[in-house]
Amino acid sequence: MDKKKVNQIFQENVVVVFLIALCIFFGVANKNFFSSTNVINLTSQMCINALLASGLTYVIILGGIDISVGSQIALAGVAAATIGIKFFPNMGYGTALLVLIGTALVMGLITGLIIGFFIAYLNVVPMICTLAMLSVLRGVAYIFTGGGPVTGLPTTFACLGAKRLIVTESFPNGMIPTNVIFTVIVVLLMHLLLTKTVYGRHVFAVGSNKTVAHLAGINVKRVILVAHTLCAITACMAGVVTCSKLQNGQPNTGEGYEMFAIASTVLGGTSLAGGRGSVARAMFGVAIIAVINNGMNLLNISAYWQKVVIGAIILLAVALDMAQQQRKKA
Amino acid sequence: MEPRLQVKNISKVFPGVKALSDISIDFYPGEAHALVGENGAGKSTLIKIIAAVYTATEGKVYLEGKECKFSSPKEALDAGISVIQQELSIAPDLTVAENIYLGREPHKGMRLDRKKMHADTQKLLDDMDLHISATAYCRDLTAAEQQMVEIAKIVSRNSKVVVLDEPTSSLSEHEINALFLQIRKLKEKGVALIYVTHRMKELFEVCERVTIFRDGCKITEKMIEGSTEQSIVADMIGRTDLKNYYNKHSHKIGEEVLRVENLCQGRKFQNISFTLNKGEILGFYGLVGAGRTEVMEAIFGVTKLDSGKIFLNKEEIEFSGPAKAIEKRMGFVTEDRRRTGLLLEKSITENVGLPSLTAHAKHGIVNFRWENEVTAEYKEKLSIKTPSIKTIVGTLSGGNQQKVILGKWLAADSEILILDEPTRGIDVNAKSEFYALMYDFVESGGSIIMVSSEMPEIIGIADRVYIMREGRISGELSDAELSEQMLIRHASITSDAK
Repeated sequence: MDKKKVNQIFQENVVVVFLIALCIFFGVANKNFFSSTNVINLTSQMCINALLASGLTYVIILGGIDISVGSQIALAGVAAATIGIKFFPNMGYGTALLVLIGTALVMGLITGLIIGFFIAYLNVVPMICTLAMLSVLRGVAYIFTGGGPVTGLPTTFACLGAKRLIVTESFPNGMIPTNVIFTVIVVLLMHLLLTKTVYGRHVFAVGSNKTVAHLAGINVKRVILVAHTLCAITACMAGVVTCSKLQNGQPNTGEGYEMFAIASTVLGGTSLAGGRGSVARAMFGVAIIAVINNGMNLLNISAYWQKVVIGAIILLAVALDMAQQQRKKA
Repeated sequence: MEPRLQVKNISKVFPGVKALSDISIDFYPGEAHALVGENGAGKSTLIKIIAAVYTATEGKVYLEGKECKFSSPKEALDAGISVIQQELSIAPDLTVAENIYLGREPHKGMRLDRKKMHADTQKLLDDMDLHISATAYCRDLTAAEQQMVEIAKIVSRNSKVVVLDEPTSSLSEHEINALFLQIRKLKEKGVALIYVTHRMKELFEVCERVTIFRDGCKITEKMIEGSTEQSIVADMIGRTDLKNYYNKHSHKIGEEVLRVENLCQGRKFQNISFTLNKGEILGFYGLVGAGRTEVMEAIFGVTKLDSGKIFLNKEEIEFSGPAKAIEKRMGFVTEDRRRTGLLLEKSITENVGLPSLTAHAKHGIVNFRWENEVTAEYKEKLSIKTPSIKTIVGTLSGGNQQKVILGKWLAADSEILILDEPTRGIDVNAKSEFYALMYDFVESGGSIIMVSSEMPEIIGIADRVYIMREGRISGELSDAELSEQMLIRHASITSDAK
């Protein structure tokens, strides 16, 4: 009995064990891995993916997907940069923050509603809908900028992406990156929305069984629409954080980021079949991906190999999930 | 004569339910052997075991004296056991010939021998006296013609055993006769036929032998010749002491709570009018496909009505969707609890709370306390047997799952409950308990519409019954008028009541 329980706890937390094992491995392989600079770097690198994964979790619990998040990053980024340059060339920190977050909300709302409308009300398969949007949004980002980056922004524009708070003697550049604070707040909100609110419960219900949800009086289409909007808003937040970090708007950023986000979400135990998932657990997935990328960088393994590894991890995680489902059914 | 197919001491246990116990039957070549019994009696389970869709928990199947150890339906098919399901397995975008030779297309080397396939198919169809072209696309055929294609497929496979599961459910009188002609031809070829049906009339027309099932047991086997419809029905129902089992007792029936007038929806149902009174259990009887479920779905707002009016407490109302119906204190227990009744992967609490979350939330935050309390309350009241209210619903037995669904609607303060086949697939004791809960509900002022295909249940429980036939209400019976004969007369498509 006890052995069974231990086994079960191990199975449920296999991601955590995997994460710790990875950290130990890279820590031993390269002593810089646990240095304070690297740890701060690591957390900062996690932010973009954490934002993406928090919203994507909703969509995946519904049994859907959004593979256009990478393009949304680019579009939100160039939009924020363009607005910044055109209307507030001498902005202060407050205005910069407002421009960045405001743009993310507006852009997220627009793209999310479009995607959600097609999926929920016109019954377009999520994979195809967002595949099309991946192309459309990327194209719009390039058209918007004429192909090149939007540059010339004041340093205040970096407030959300590259600034660090709490400057001490040993940390002259500051200790805690603002993007980490921002991400923690957003992720926490997304987690609470999913676990504590009626809307969150409806997401699980619709993801488990649309008919049952509909018969229980849930507006299934609206739940799907809102989930895609939330996903787009978090993606656009990732977009403005990226452009704030770069201090310019690049239409080519975020390419392939959907891969990292989907991998993180699935590693965090969110089932691609829908019905199960957690924002908090997705963060373990985010950490694993970040550690793998960072560790491989430290070990001077080529970026090409990193692609292979991440893809393989998605495949393995999904195969494991499916195997578990099959076993439960038998 | 040697039996073609034998099942010996077959038992099948599903989690929580024993679907079949110790069934032994011999099926002979050139004979049509009918399997009859109420819904949930175990006929379908046996068929699925014969076709190797399920594996028997105990017992063995023998084909021509040899034990069958099929690991997939494909192997059973290859060995000569064909099944024609209620839902036809025709690929609509392929031609008749392509469907008949699907998976075993004639070929010359790598190349498909289309010419031979079409010629062979046409010969086959002509031999069967069917006026169907081998090159026609199946989507252009009628349902009856598609069924004929299925039969042609079986003939071409030289099947040894053919199972027909309710083959006439979607056919007209004329088409049924054409089907029977083909069945007789199959018998002449020496095929052993297994014929599942609810329709008494057909037994006497095409079958030689009948086995009667009840609650997963084989009650009796007899030759059709010399049997009467009454004796078969009596064996199907079995229980002489219906009153005790259902515990029917008088209870107060009040004013009208729900009235519908002339509800119509395309070809599904027309001119449906009825009233439901406070404290009443109103039965809806009919054959499968008579349109009862469709009417209930429309009343609950799941589908849209073409025309007609709904009055709730004598006020006209329009249910734009289930949310509106729930707000007006209606609940709908669907007929397929696993697919449309429950979130199987979720806990009892999450299922019970689901329709009422919004009503009990403050600022959109789930009222976890209310949810836990109400679930615990109904776990007690409905005596749901579970280790905890956080147990995953999918792991409960059928009867307990059904109680969870009932609890869900009671927790939503429902005043009118629509129960669609509420006791399908749950065992006898669970049924009896469920009936008691239904009485508790109406005695505390609720009203129930119960759709059921089980005659004893309708007779044993309902205060009044409407009977539906082909999308229309074909009769209304009061408690005193209720009898098997009356129900059958109003429900049957081909009976003399027409």
